[in-house]
Amino acid sequence: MQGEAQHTLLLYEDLVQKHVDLVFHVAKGFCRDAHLAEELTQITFMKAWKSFSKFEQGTNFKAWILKILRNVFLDNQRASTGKRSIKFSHAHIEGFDPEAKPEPPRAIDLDSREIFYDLFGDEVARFLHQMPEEFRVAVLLADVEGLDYEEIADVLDIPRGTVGSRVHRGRAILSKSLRSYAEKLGYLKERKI
Amino acid sequence: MKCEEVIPLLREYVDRELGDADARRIEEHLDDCHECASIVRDENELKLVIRKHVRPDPAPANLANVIVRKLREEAQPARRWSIQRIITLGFIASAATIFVVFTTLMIISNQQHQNAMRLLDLMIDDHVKASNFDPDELVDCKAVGAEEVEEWIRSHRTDNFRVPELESGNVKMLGAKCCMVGGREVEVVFYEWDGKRTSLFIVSDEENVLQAADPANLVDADKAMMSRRGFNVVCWKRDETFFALVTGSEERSIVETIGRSYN
Repeated sequence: MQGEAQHTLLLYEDLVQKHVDLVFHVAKGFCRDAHLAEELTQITFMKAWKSFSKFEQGTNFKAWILKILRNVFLDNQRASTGKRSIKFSHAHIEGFDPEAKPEPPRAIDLDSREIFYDLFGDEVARFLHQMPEEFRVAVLLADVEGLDYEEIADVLDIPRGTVGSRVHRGRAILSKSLRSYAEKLGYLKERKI
Repeated sequence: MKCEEVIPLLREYVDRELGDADARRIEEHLDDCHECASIVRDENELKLVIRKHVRPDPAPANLANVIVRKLREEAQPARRWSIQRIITLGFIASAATIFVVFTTLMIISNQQHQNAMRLLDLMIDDHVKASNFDPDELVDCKAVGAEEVEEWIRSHRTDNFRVPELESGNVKMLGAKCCMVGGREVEVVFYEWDGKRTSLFIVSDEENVLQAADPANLVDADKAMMSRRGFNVVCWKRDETFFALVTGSEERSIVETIGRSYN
């Protein structure tokens, strides 16, 4: 292999090492299956290598690789239609109506706040995991991976305004699920709307 | 700003997506509005809860190494079926095929040559034996010319061939016989050539294993004339019939006579 090609490969290998956790985690956020996420991660990096010459050095590699991951995920989803059902039914979320207008932000009762946020552990991940894909991935990219709206819009190929809507509806779904859970356990008084 | 104006902007404010001017106006409102400030605090705390409890799962330990190994395998030009490699392998395969075919042909050719030499040796043995006999005892057909001998031979054989007309002033036909030489049915025509006993062996060679020159090119064909065990031997082939003449006479005059007989 010639010197320049060798250098490019080493540079790309370094990027693989730095971003493999991110790609794997977001892949798992997309498909909710660790084995499939591993497979999608491999395919993503191999596919990205083939078009690495088109990537402008110094620009946002994170957004670029995640965009490729999303396409890989969609290709996989299309290919496995009928074999594997990744699509999540909204009916799994108690009280969630996908057609309903998002509620305006509402403050939690002052007396309950301290208990409320200390109460949860694995439930947060579990409820996030149960959310519909469009909200789950938006919240994951914004709040866990720290991408801004512009980056998320680029990765998911949706308008910036839609990103804000999905992130906040996702958080609202999660908050509602956590509240219902806390109420069932008796840690939170039933809310009067 | 009033609450109705602020609330729709609070989401973007929490996510730091507002411009500086809008963010300052929101902050001025939050300083005076306990309800809106609570919303912002709740949203920020929810973000913190998500970040705290939804920790990114690390990728499997060897996943990066697996990807790197695959990348290197793919980037390795020596392992690819490049056109150059295909051409090189094709060339090697062709050369190997030619070598095998050539070697096989050489072996077959050598084998055929050895078989022909063995047959010639047996013919020479037969010629030596015949030299000790009286011509009348020797022959099955006491012929007076090539045509008669040819007719007699055809009465024994099914294949079509011509007996060369070698008789001339110094060549006298004695007769012909049928015998077995080396497991083959052979006709022998005896001559007195320059006063020396000469035997012409005629063998059917339908399988074409006995290589010899065309009678018209005997002078130029090295392998057609040879000196073997004290005799001059001249071999030629016409259609599917092999001729071998064993004599003590001088070979050049023999060749000229044979060549003439076919003109």
